Amino acid sequence: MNLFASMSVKNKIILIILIVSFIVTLLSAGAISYLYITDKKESTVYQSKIKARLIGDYSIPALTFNYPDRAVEILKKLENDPTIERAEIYSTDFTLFASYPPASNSTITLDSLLTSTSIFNGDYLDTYETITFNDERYGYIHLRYLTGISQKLRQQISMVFLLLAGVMFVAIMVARRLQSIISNPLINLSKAAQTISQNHDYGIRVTKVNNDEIGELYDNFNALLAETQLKESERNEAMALLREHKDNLEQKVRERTDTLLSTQKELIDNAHKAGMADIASGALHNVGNILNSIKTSASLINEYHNNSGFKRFSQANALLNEHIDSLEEFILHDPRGKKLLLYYLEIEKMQTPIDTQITNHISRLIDKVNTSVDVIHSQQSYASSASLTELYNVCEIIEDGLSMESSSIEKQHISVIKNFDEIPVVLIQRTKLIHIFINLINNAKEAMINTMVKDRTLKFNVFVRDNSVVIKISDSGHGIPEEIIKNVFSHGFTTKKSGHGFGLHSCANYMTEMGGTMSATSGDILSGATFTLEFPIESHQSEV
Amino acid sequence: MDILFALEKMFRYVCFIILFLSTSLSSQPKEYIFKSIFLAKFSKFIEWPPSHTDQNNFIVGIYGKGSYKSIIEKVYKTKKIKNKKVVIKYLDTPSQIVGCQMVIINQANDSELKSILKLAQHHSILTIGNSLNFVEQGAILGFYIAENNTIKFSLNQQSMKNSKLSIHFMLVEIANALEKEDSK
Repeated sequence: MNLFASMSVKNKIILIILIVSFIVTLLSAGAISYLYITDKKESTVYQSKIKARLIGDYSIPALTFNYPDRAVEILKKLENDPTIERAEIYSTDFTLFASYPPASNSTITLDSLLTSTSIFNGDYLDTYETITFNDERYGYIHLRYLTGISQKLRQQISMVFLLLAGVMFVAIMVARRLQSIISNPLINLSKAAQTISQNHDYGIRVTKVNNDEIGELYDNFNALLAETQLKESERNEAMALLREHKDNLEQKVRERTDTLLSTQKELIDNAHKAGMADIASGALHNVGNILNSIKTSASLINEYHNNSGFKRFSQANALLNEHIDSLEEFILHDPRGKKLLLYYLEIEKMQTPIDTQITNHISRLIDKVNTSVDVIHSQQSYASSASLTELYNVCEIIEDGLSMESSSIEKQHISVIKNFDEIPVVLIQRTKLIHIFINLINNAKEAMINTMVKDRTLKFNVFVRDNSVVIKISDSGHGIPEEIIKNVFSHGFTTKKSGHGFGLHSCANYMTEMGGTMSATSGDILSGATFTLEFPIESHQSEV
Repeated sequence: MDILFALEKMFRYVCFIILFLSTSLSSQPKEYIFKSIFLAKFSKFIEWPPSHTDQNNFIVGIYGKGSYKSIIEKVYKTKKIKNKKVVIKYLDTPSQIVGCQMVIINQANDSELKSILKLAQHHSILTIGNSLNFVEQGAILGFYIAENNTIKFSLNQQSMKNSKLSIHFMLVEIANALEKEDSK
């Protein structure tokens, strides 16, 4: 089967035609031979019976009148018939009455005589007939008929082989010529496909010759080629476009990268500016509050000053200057002199409490002015140390952050709990870290303000764990839902109406830049949120 | 069944021949015995017109004196011809042949013979001569002794054609064959 499968179409067609021709010829010849033999047998039986009956009928008088010689004479006429090998006539008592050839011995059985039948025995046919006349039995006849069937059969087989050889020869000749009708179109199609495969030339078309299935195959092949050519053309155009894009891609990527870097820098700057704005806003807020205190103290000093006894001090001094030459007489005889003297005596008594108040307010003024100076210095210090990496104790940064947000924390009645362990200094950028703390403190404030919680607590836990400084900032606000918490550090993600989604993202980026990590956890609703910052303690830092 | 039938028939023939040869016929010439038997055999190949047949009997007439008489009576005492009882008539005058189906002519002068043959032709009677001369003078069948002492018979085809009897060709054929054989 594999051999057949690997054969060419041409050879397959020839082989199929040969096999079919062989089978058809063999079957036809077999059928003809079978019919011939069957017919020959039937006709032989028929002829032998006719002859037996005829001879039997002619022998009836001889049997009737007991003339064996006459029967022999009748049988002798069979010598002209080459098909009769032997003939025997028996009387009703089963004795041999006459035979041909003469004096031949009987070899038949009684049963054979009594059964009118014909039995083939090799090339012979033994026919047994009863000789009757007017329903009376006169004797029996046996004819051995030479059929020649075996010889005919041999001749038939020889003829079949000759016929087969002839048919196969003719079939080969015809198949070799006719196979081209089927195989040539297929071979042409195969060659066309091979050419297309080698040269990728989809413009080739095969010429349809017949309107049969192969013709349909040609049409479909051409249609497929046309479609492939169209697609190839489209592909080439796309490839050209792709190459063009590829050529420009690097430039575009570079431009896009520059744009992105610029945007990123801008965003970072904006974030920094936003952070700095938060710091500045806090500082200004603190300074504003301090200035309010200064204003109050100044007003009070002014009020105290206006209400002091020194308002009439110039009148008293003028009256004194008017009577300086006659001071004794004026004090002793003039009632105004006595009042003037009493006025001077009461000045200390009146001024001392006012002076005390004024002094206190002046001290407060000085203190507030100093605080303002500190706040401004602090803001200026964070603004000036933008990207300086230094060894710092993070607790100091936390204190600075709380100081900057102190007024708003106090205003919102938020309790701050600080649990600071002894920790080593770590490498940080102060500006970025204060920005992170301010951001987290503001978020915590908003989370607690927007929630109807009575106990507003902002807790700072600082400790060392696994060679890292860990800062946990927890609030008692509304917390962060689980589906949101995984996105809080994503760029552009925000839950605030006025938010831009860059605050926590920039905080996380800052932590990464500083070699630290930042994470957020939240419990149930209203259980608050906790942000954890971790800074690795370098070996040399631990030693410090 | 066929074997039993054949064996029975064969046994009957054998018994008949043994009885025939061993008893009263043992001293009779075989010639007459065979001639008597031949009468029945002839009848197998001959058909008589229905108007000239007896319903119950097959009448055989014997014309003229001769030892033939007693033998033929004994042979057909029980044996039938055409499945009918055989009745033997002894005839003295030609007119007596009327009513017979078969007449054996033992002896007859010319005038008697002519009358017999004429009546026989008219009444579809098979005439059988005891010798070949009767056949030559117009009898349909006649016996003769061949050179090998076998009894043979001859047939006058003209008389056969003149008669109204239907004689089977096989009887004619063997008669011709016997004639040819003896003429060689």
